[in-house]
Amino acid sequence: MAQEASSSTSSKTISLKTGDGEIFEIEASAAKQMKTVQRLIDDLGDDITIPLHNVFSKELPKIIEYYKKDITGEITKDFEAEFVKDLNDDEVKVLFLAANYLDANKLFEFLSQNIADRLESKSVEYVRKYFGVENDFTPEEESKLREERAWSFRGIKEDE
Amino acid sequence: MSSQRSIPTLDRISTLPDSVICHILSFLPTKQSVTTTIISKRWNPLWLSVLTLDFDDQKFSDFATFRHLIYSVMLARHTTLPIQSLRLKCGISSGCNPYDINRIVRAALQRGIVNLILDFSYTDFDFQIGLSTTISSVFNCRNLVVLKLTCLTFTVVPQFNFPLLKTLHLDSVSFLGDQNEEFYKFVELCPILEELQTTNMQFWVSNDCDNGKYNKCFSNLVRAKICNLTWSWNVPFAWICNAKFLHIELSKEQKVHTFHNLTHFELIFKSVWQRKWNWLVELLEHCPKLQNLTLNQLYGHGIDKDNWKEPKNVPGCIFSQLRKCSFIAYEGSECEFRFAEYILKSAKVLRTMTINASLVDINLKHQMLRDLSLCPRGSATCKLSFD
Repeated sequence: MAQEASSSTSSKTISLKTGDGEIFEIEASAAKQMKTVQRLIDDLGDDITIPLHNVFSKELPKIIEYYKKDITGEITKDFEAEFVKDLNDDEVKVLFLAANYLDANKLFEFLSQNIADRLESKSVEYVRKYFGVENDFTPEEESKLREERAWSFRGIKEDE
Repeated sequence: MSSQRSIPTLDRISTLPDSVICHILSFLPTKQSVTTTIISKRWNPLWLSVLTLDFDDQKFSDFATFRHLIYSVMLARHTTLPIQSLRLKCGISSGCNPYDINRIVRAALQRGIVNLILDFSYTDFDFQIGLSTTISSVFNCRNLVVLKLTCLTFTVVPQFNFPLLKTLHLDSVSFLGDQNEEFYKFVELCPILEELQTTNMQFWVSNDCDNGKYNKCFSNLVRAKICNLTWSWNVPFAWICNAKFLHIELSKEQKVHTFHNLTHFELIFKSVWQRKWNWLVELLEHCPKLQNLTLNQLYGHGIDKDNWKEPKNVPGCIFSQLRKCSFIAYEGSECEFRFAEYILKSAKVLRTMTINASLVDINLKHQMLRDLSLCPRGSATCKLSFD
């Protein structure tokens, strides 16, 4: 996509280069919402292609789509529901990691809520697997902890 | 310089810092967040650093167990650890009593709460009257930034002062007193309010909302949503005239104020009144920046006592700002049609006109679509979309 010479500052676009070498354009006002990007712009200038080593061409378009809606004030509950509807767990995690890296607060908050929604009422083992965590407690240690906090373990299902 | 994504997602997720994990935990019910203590040695203490408490008695059959959970959590947490947010929803479990709720809320408020959400749906009148201690504590808390109250009954409006409050949601909150003079000071006492939402409010505000007492506006207001108005509650338009986004259910005419910043307006008509069409035009003339207009049930409440007449001058926003116009529950009455036709021909930058006529017979719908698509359009890029 050829870079356009921007005449007016209000429609200025910024070029972003993903970790796998693809270039995407976003509006300057959307770039402002991603603090990491804005910091790079402040350091490198806004005419340079900003390199994003930890964000890839699979997820960046989705992030750009979100912030396009944000700058026109059109993010509604319906839009957000639609946005995550067909995403599997892995795709949500990848977006979440990207939002964290980019310091894109609004998307980060929304995805935190969405991940929590996906984990709600799930078993401890499910949450472990979701975050790729190894259980380093011995069975004795674990049952002692369960006993200490019996009031929170009461009534939750353990399978899954 | 192309690099492959060599580190699997799961590894990257597991290297997230504690603060991010705690942030996700803060969106979970506290009961579940406590159970993460056995996930691993690293996760073991994390729930204790979560500054949000979220308790909902929906899955508890009796209140005693629910209460035990809350007290256990409070005891397990270090007393110096602040509570930033509390969400407490109760009323379903049997044996739920206001005395305990008063103690819990008061204890929480003493720990520096900034965000408070209380939901007493499913409780009855007697229960809510018993919460007067809770109410006084809440209204004495000047640190609040977010306050959301559902199902509460007040006999007297307490003195209040919320200098830091940015978000206020009130749902089914009733004030039983005759006069609520405190309320007209609302704007001064919540000076930096950005978001206001009211639903099913029941209280007596002087019907004379247009007098000087209600003239102030929330200067920082961005968003307001006013639903299910009753005859005894009116949010004066003057209060919300700075908003950018408005969603309003209207049962009667309100004095028009200029909405200087308004870009998105959804109006739901709950009844008709004399001069409705004239009033609507006058309103639009006072929304200079309006880009997105949604009209819901514009017709459906009996015969219009007024008729649509084309105004002499096109309201400024329709001519140069309006990009999106929607009709919901369109019934195809003469007035509605003429109004839609007027917008189509006068709006020079209109991109979409959406008509949702789900209540109408399918044959009539085809006729309506045909009639509307034949109307001349002032904007070359305007798309007509029919539901």
